Amino acid sequence: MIISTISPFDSATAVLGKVFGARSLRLTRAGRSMLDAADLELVERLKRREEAAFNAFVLRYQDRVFRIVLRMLGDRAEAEDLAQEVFISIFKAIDSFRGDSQLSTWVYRVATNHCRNRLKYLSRRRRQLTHDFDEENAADSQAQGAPDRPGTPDRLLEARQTEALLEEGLAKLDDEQRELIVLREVEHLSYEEIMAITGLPEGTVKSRLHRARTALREHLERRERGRVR
Amino acid sequence: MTSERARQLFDAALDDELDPETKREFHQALAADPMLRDDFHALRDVVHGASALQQAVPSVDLLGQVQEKLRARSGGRFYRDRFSEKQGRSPLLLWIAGGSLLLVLVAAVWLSFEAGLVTR
Repeated sequence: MIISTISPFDSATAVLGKVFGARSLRLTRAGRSMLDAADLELVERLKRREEAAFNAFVLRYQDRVFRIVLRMLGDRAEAEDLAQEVFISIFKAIDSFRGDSQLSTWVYRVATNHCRNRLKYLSRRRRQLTHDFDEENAADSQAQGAPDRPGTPDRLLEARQTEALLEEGLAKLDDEQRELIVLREVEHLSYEEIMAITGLPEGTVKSRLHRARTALREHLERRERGRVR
Repeated sequence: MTSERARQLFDAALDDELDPETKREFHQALAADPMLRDDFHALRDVVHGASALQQAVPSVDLLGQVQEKLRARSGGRFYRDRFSEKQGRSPLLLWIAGGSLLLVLVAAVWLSFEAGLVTR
């Protein structure tokens, strides 16, 4: 009877728990201090595989996960697929979360690891990064209709052009630089969180971020010069 | 502060990591060197522009597809109930509510028969 309740979705500790009647591995004492009460309860419910808790978890993090994955991969269809896989991995691996970081940091770490693996796979298949947002933004601007105030369309157009150039520049960065720009500039994470997510020391994070910022700036300047001509 | 030193502090300035005295000297260096100032502003604009990219991504709804995949990969062990999971309501509560309503209806019909309101 016990054996029939064990599935591939159970971690080793959960299996032992079922066999010996104990709950899955609890958070360490240090882990408990890292999480606020709400996150603590959520993690405990996730470890019990409560579907309602997992629903709430997905709804809370899906936009953030999708943003990171989309900015890393540059392709919406790939990003939707990979973002789903991130949550499935979390569902299966939640027992491994000991609370030694914030829950959000751990989620980001899982997402960035998935991105790295997918990018390696895609580069082996020699896929080019694509951009879906230029078309979407063009459709949005057409759908919005006439502005109420004079000058607004020019500002909107300029903002969207800048956005498109930035996305283009982001795609041209190497994977490590893009990851840091996404985590720091787009997601506004602290250096401590970025170090926890990437496993890199502070000096490496800052020097790579500096090169990434400079590369983005140079890309925009080149494209601006090209537009002016 | 020399322009060269100020240039080395671009990232720290963007991250607001300069102490007040260094920040003052940094801005003095920018004021004294237009090219330095332009370069810093260009970098600042890039960082601010990248920051705005967060808002450019529309919301996404992944829950349904994640549930489908979990159901398929777990052989139906998880998310067996397809109808009540969207906002996290427990399916057990729905079954209890439905069952209670049914009992109330059955009791109402039976009492009606007993009271002669309805003939068999």
